[in-house]
Amino acid sequence: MAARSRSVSLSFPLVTATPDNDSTDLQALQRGDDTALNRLMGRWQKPLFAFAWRYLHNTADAHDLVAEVFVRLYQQNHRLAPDTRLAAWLFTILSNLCHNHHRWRQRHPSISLDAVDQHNGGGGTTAADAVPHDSLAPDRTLERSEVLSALATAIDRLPHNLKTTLLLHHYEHVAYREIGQITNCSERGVETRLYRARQYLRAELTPFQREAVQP
Amino acid sequence: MQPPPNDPLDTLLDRLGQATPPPPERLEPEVWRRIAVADNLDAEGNFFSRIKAMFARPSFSIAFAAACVLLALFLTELHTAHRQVQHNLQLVQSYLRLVDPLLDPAHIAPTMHSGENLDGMLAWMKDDLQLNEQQLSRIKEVHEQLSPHLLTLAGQVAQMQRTFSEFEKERRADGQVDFLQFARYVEKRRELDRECTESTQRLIAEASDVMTPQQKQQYLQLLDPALKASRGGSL
Repeated sequence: MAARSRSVSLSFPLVTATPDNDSTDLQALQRGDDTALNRLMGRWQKPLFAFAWRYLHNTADAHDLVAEVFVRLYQQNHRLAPDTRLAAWLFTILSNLCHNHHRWRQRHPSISLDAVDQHNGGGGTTAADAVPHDSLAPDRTLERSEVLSALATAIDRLPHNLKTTLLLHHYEHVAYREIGQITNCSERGVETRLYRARQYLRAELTPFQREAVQP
Repeated sequence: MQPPPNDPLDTLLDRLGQATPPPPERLEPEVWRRIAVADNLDAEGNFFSRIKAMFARPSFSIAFAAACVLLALFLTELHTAHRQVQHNLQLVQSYLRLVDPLLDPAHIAPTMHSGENLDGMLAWMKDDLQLNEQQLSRIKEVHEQLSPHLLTLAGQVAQMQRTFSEFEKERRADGQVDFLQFARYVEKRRELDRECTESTQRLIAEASDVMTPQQKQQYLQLLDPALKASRGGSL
């Protein structure tokens, strides 16, 4: 819970940890130094992929969209001001891509390879499978797996703005102000969205009250 | 709206977050491959993108629109000039039919007998050659003086054409014609043609004598192509 407190008090471990490096690399990229893009990819690939995967729950799609973000960064770098907060820009592009992709997928339902892998008992990582349950009894393990599946489903059902706010805040530890830049709303609005998202998740997890209350 | 301490929801979210797989390797090659593909597509669409970029500039768009308007005006003017040339050629050919009995003998008589028609025929000369009233009056006089002779020649040409038709009718009916009669016809026709040509040339020469050298040169330049087009010969 300490992490939550840090986030609320506007500590930005991921976004603000390397603004100088980002700015330096962006300016290098604008000067034509293509290796700067490699450095930016090395720095931002992991958080971007994590966000995209949590949004889409699909490894291939997440990888595809993260690659697209860097392609756009390369193509549009000349339009960016030198003092652009690159982290906010990257997450803005990625969240929009995720939103568009999610809507497209809702209109064109398909079976995810990740889901097939899970169904066939393969080694693919899914939300519930990857959680360690080493100290739990089999019935508790199954129950917990169901809770986590329900949570993943509930997150997936969240409206785009609530989902983006929740994922950026909880997992990427992005500050309200930065989330506001990414989702185009005020800090107060971010706080409200976060509250509504959590309320929605709690409501969805009501049938698993015991699990939710007893971690 | 602060989350309560030790919120079980945070614990569940944290556990769910542990499921996140590591990012696949080979992101960099994939990104550079896509950039290369996009660059190639840009190069293919370069022509159209340049056109689009050019038209995005207001100065170029305005200049292009102005050029289109000027081109349209030029083409309209060209078309009008072409129609005027065609109209003049028709007028000249009508005039030639008036002064050359060989061209259209049936056309001469009604025209010559109508002073109004002759005035209409000569009107183009006044406009195109910028004749004054005195010149026009003298040219009309020349035409009227020669008109009886032209009418006679036109009558003879018409008669010769009828004779030829009879020869042709006889040839089709009998499969042969009287060679001596036909030879005399040909000789007479040649003589008439020569006389018609001389008559036309004399009329044109007398009419052109009324004109200034510039008007004369323009007059002959107008008649020559029309005559070539009408009967394949020159004055």
